[in-house]
This record gives sequence, C-alpha cells and structure tokens, in this order.
Amino acid sequence: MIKKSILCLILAAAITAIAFAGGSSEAAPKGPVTLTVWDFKYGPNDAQKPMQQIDALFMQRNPGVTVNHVAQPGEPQYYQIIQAAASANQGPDVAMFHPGAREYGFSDILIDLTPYIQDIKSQFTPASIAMVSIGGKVGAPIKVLPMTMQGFGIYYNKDYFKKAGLDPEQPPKTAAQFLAACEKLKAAGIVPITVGQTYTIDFLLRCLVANDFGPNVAGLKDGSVKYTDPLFRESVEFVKTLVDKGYLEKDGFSRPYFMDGINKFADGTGGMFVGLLSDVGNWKAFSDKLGANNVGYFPTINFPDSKYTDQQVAQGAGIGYGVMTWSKNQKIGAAYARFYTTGDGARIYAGATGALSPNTAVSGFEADYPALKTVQQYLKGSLALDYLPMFYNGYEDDANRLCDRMFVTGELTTDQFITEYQKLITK
Amino acid sequence: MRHQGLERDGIAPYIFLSPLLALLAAFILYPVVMNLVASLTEWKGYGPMKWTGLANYRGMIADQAFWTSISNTGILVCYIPASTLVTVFVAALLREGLRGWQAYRAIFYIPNLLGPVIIGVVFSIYLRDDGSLNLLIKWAGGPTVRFLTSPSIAINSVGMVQVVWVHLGFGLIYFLAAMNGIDQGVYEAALIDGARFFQTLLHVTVPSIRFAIEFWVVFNFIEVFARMFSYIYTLTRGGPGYGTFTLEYGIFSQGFEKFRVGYSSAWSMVLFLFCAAISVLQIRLMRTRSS
Amino acid sequence: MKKLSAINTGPRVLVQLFLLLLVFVSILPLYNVIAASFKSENEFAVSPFFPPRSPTGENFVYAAVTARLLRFAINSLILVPIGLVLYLAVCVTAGYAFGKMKFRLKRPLFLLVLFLTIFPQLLLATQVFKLISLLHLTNTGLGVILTWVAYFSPFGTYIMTTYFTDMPYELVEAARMDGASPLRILVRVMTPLAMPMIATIAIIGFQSMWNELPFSLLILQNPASRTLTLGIAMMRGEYGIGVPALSAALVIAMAVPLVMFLIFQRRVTLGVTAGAIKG
Repeated sequence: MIKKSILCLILAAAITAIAFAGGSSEAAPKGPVTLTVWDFKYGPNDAQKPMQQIDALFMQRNPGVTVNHVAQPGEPQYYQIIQAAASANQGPDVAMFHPGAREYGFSDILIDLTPYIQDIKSQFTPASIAMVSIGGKVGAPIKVLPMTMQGFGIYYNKDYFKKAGLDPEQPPKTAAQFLAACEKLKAAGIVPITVGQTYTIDFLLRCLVANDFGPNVAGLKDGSVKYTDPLFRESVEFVKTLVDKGYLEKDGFSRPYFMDGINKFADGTGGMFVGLLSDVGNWKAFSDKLGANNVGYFPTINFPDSKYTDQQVAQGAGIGYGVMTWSKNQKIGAAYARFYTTGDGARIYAGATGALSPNTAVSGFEADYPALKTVQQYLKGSLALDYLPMFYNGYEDDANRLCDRMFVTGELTTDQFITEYQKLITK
Repeated sequence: MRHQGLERDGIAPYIFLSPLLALLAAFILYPVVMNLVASLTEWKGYGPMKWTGLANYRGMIADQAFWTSISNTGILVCYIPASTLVTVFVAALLREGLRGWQAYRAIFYIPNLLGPVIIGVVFSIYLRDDGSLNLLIKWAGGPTVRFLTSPSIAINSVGMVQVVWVHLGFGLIYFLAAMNGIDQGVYEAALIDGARFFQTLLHVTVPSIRFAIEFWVVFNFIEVFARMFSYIYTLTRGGPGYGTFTLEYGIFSQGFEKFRVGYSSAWSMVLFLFCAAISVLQIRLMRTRSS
Repeated sequence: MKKLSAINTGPRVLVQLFLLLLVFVSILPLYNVIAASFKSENEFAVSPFFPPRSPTGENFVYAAVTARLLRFAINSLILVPIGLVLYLAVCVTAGYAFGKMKFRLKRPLFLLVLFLTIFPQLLLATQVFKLISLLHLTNTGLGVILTWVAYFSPFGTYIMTTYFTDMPYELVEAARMDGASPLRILVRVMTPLAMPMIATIAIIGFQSMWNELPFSLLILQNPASRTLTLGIAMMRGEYGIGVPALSAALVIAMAVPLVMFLIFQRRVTLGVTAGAIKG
C-alpha cells in the first residue's frame, strides 16, 4: 500500500512537472521556430488587437515562425520579471523595454541590434537613435529598436472651457492665465485638473522642467544644471499651489493613473488632464471619446522669467523591442523588432493606437484629428529632452515617492524636496 | 520527552528527517547564508558580484528610508496590544453563550480566510479617497479621510485592518479554545460571589489563559515583522511616499524595484536579527510551557 | 445544563447589537466588492455604493476568460493539493521522528527546525529563485511546489511533533514488540491516530500555499501558469482594469476559499482549537 501511494505521488509530481514545464502557454506553439515575446502592452484593453494583426502579418511573411506573444503586467512588475529572467539566464527571445535608464540597466542581457538596422537607420529621428543607444550616446550599441516616441502635455475639454467662460481656441499660456482658467473651471463646478495618482504630478513637473532648462536638461546628468535653480523652484511652488487650491483634485491621488485617471477624463470628468503623446492617454484616446473637435492641447505653462517658452517635453523613444542574449533565435528576433518599427508593422501600430512613430518613413496619421495637428506643430517646434529616463534603473520609484511626500502628503517643504530631488541624481 | 526503552532508533529517524532537512538546507539555510555574503557586495541579482565590504551597511544607516521602515514596523508593533485586547474581549463576550456565537465566530474568520492578497486589493479600492468608505463618511457629514494618501493615516490603516481586524477571526477561534480549558468551577464560584463580566474577565479568565496570550503576542510579532508584505504590496506598494514602507517591504523595494540586491541583503540581515530574536523568545516560551 | 452567565439579560441585548455592528463593519467592504462586480463601468462611475440597478455578468466573463482567472484558479487547484500531499508527507514523517524516535541529534535538529519557522519569504526570495533556476525549474509547477513545501514544512513539522510527543509511548512499544519496522509503525499505527492533527496542518498548509505570493511571483513568470492569488495581485498593476472588472475577479478569487470553508468549517474550527490547546 505504501508503494502504491508513493508511486501515485511520483506520478502526480511528474504530471505536474510536465504540464507546467518550460513556460507553456495556452496556444501550444508548433513549427520549427517559436519566438517568445514579452510585452507590457499586450493586455486586452491595451494594444493587443493591433499587435495580433501585426503578428499575423509577420508570421505570414516569415513562414515557419510562430509568435508566442505573452502579456505581462506593466511597470514596475514588468521589470521585476525581467530581472528574474536575467537572473535565471533564460526567458523570452524578445522583450519590450522603455529606452533610457531601464534599457541601459539591462544592457548586459540585450544584444546589439546595430548590425540589423544599417539599412534603415536613417529613417529614425536622431533623437530616437540617441535614446536607444546605451548611455544615450550616439555611436554606442543600439539595444532596443524604437517603436514610439513619447512626450507629455496638457489636454483640455473644449466644451468645458466654453462652459466656464474660457475661449476654447486659446488655451492658457502663462502661469497667471493657467491659474485663472483653473479658478473659472472650479467656479463653473468643473474639476479643473483630473488626477491619477502621483503620475499626474510627475508628468506635469516634466512639462514644466522642459521650460525651466530647455535644451540644457541633459546638464542635469553631469551637474552643469541643478534642481536648485530658482526656475525649478518656481515650478515646484506652482504645482504646490495647484494642489493647495484644489485645482489638482485631491481625491484623485489614490486613484490609479492608468487607466482610471485616463478614463475619468475621457468620460468627461474634468477640464484638463496631463496626458501623454503616444500609446495611451493621448490625443487619440481622448478625441475618440470626447469628440475629435472637442479636445485641445498645449505642451506646458510659461513663467514670466523663463528663458524658454512652449517647450515640448519629449522622449526620443518611448517603448521598443530588444532581443535577449540567451535567445536561440536572435536573427528572427531582430527581424521581429524591425517589423514593428518600420514599414507595415509600424504603420498598423501607429494607426490603431495613436502612437507617434519615430520612424520618419512611417507617414503621419491620415485621419482628421485637430488635437494631433496641434501636437505635431509643437513637435516640429522646440523639443526638450525628458529627464526621467536619463537616470538610474528604478529612478522613477524614488522620484515618485518624493513627489508623494512633497505634494500629496505635504511632509516636505519645498527646500527639502529640492535637496532630496537633487540628491537622487547625484547618487 | 521521556521514553520507556533506552535503545536508540538507529538511522531510521535520519531517513525520516532527510526530506525535511534537505529542503530546509537548500531553501532556507543556504539562502540565509548567501544573504549574508551578498550584503557585503554590490550585485544586480545576476552577473558578477562586486565586493564592497561594509559599504552597504554604512549606506543603510545613512539612508532615511531605512529608519522610516523601522519606525513604520514599530508603529505596527504598537497595534499588537490593541489586537490582543480586542480579541480577548470579543472572545470572552462570545464565550458567554450568546445566541449564534458560532455564527459570529465563523463570520469573523472570513477575512483571515481570504488571505492578505485579496484583503489588500479589496481595501485598496474600498479605502480610496473617492472610495466607498469615504462616500459613507461624506454622507454622515464628515471630511474625506485620506486612508491611503496620508502617510500617517496609511500606516494606521495597515495596522487596523491587518493586525487587528484580520487576526480577530483567527484569534477568536484560538482564544475560545483556550478559554474552554478554564476550570468552570472557579468561574461559577466567582459569579456566585457576585462578580460581573469585567471582573470575571480580569480575575478569572485572563490569568487562566496567560500562556495563550503570551503565544498570541509572539505570533503577532512574527506577523508584523515577517508576514505583512503581501498585504502592503497589494494595498499601497509601500506608499504614499514611504508611509507604509516597512522593513520587509524595504527589502523587496531595494532588491526588486531598484535592483540593488546587495544593498537589499544588508536590510535583510537586520530583519534576520529581529526574526532570530523573536524565534529565541518563542522557543523559550515553549520550553517554559512544556516544563 | 444552563451555564451561569456574567452578563444580565439587559446588557446581553447590547452585546448582541455591538457584535452585529462589528459584523456589519466587517462585511461592508466585501459587500461593496460583490455589488461592484455586477455593475457596468458606467453604472459604477455614477453609483459606486448601492446595489446594482441593472446587474450585468459582463465583468465575470471578462475576469474569467479575458483576464484568465479561470485558468489561474485551475492552476491553483492543481498545484496546491499536490503541494499539500508532499507537505503532509514531510511533516508527518519528520514530526514522528522528532516526537517519538530517539537519536542523538534530536534536540539540536529540532531547535534548528523551530528556528527556521519564522523567516519571511522576502529574505529568501532572491536566493531561492537562483536555486530554482539552477535546477531549471523556473516556470514549472514542480519548482513552486518544492519551494512551498520547503518553506511551510517547519511549522507543520513543529505541530506534528508536539502532537506525537503527547501520544502515549505504549502504542509504539506494542508495535515494536510485534516486530514492525519504523516505517510500518508510522504508516499503519501513527498516521491513523494522528488524523485530527493531520487535518489541522492540512488546513493551515492549504491556506498558506493558496495565498502565497513572493515565491510564486518570481518563479511563475509565464502568465498562463500563474496561481489565482498571483493573478489577483498582478491585476492591480495592469492597464485597463476598472473597479467593476477587478471586483468580479476578486469575487471569483474569494469563491474558492469561501466554498471550501463552508464545507470544512467544522474541521477548521476543531483544528485551530486543537492547535490552540497545544500552544
């Protein structure tokens, strides 16, 4: 009897091991090559549909390849899983990354893709190539191919502006005008700025910093530019004022930015929202829900003494694909990354999600979106680099906790915040 | 542990123990030792380990986040007396043979049953500034209570929900069982002498279950130091700011949010020391109990 | 036999009210979750608190199918029982060895096991993960099960040890005199006698493994192989999960332990009771 039960145990364990071995997925992949792709945008409410289309096209054009596209949760869990994979030296063939610090932090598990894009390199904007090169230095190995370019700005609901007695075609430009607009919205019973956790503040700060430092933002890295600059201080105080006056809805700070905050604005709560330019929470998401003619955009707020005005904060590359060093299908992986960033693949993605492609050969979005036209105008103007992806892997977590303590909980004074914020990047 | 015969059992016991010991050696002992080693290096969790000596410890002592994590854990410890009082009190109430006491006991057990992850997610929605509890409070005319967005309140939310409320269910079953062992005679004698509820509670019940209370306190210490992570992870991710950032969460954060595994191991050694101390205390208690 | 009570009838009513209030406060969050799970996104935005006026099952479909909770539930329902069997085998065997056998290293080894009961998973996570990857068990059910058994066995062993210790030695003596081997004694004599306690640690073990997070988080990287608990924990970080959908997921996740509790309620109470007396 003992022998029987032991045998049963071994059998059960074996079945389990087989059933779960090797990271199987429901769509049991067959074919000579299976390419496993990890993605944080493959969720059903995210970019899954267009990606399925693109994958199908890729498989059509590359017979014998089966794409095993896996949806992983977003930041920060995504990078925990990537780190675990790095630790085990096994995992997917291709994985999505945020170029910048995240990519550079994982540099040693990514292959150099430069040889795979020699012929199409010139199609990409120089800013995107710089960002996907390790350390942000042009000429360094390119380990991620850029799929989108990203940026932040302020979207507003034109209907609500009208209701509040504001001119819907003339968004506030200066700090004073912005405060006045908020006050008018509040008086009309409209939430001035919809909030989604600390991300709203984080994004807003980045927009303001663009004006503070302009093209010199990169100086934050080598210390030639510091947060102790009085202009930055002014920005911090400004955001604090927005919180104190209730223009940034306090109740929104416990609400997740993705997607609750985004959905709240898209559903018509709130006059303004600090959104993104690409992927989610962008001109397309809001135009589709609020009406294409109802969405306005402006990139930042101008202070009287800032040297720079109307700077659009931008990341050369927002997300992209990299190929892992342990992959046995590196060539195909590279071809996959290429497919998503040039030609038909890139076109499908941009068209469906409203992502802005850093590939100049991918033509601009055809349909009529006034908000997009505004965005593109600013993109053609002066761009300021976004500082956040410049620093270490995991910087975002530290920065957000600091913003929490300064703006949400009020634990820090402006001076303390600035000191701590500066300390973070000099670590 | 006295036995009749004097012969030893040969190697059979060691064979019986081998699966357990093998697993423990591989999955607990080895990691603890490796942790100590890692804490003296700079390491990403994979790739080369760079020897840095005591640098991580020095950095840790200078790190404000570390001290915040200790103080947050300390605040949670302060909820242990509250948990003990409430649990013993309610258990004593139920013991009075009220109608439906078994139903109460079962219902109160549900939070414990659901587990920290579910409870964490449920409360991360329920306690939002625009969540249901605040809606209730608004109706009653109160202000918005920042359960999850004020660091001073957030840590208390953690304490109240996890340390007091969730453990109530388990504690009720535990203390009711312990109270069953009280000599009914002493109890009834006190009642005949005219003692009422609180007097019997203080003079008869509590002294009789002293050991149970001691174990309960130690159990809670273990929970606070070493079993809070799942709950905090799903509730607030250690925020707002560093509001619910406990020592346990800090280990996770340093290792998996900032990818500084060597540094995280230094924090782990501190937690290890606390846990070792509690463990010794627990073993001592058991020794006194069995003697 | 009517028990004397320390509370008069008057205050008894108050006590009942107080307890009912506690119950109400306890159940409120759970009610909210259940109510929200039946509301559509739009209805929830408008009326988050009241019972749904036009209940819909779409959230459940979403949670079970699109968010794959059904799959996660099945994963848990496969992994945890298997882990439980291994766990029981290890704990009962080791508990018997510590509780009834004689060998020189008994005391130090037992203290070691006791000592290792406490350490939090976080302390061990990175190294355990390295070990699992060395054994090529990442993403496998076996990897997770081994980790669970290793981590939760010390406590189960301790409980079984105290139980076996308190058992009269005569039983062992008698079996020995019959010439039974230690293994036979364990399986034929001791295990049946220890059933109540085995049921106790089974329940404790089940709850521990079912709700385990840190190790599963690292080991089960492939979403398809995740456990229910892991699925819920990860949902909070995902794009596009509104409160109603998340609530439906929670309801599904709550259903399993609740159903099991209803079935095994007596056992659970008895078990914890027995554990309490053992201290």
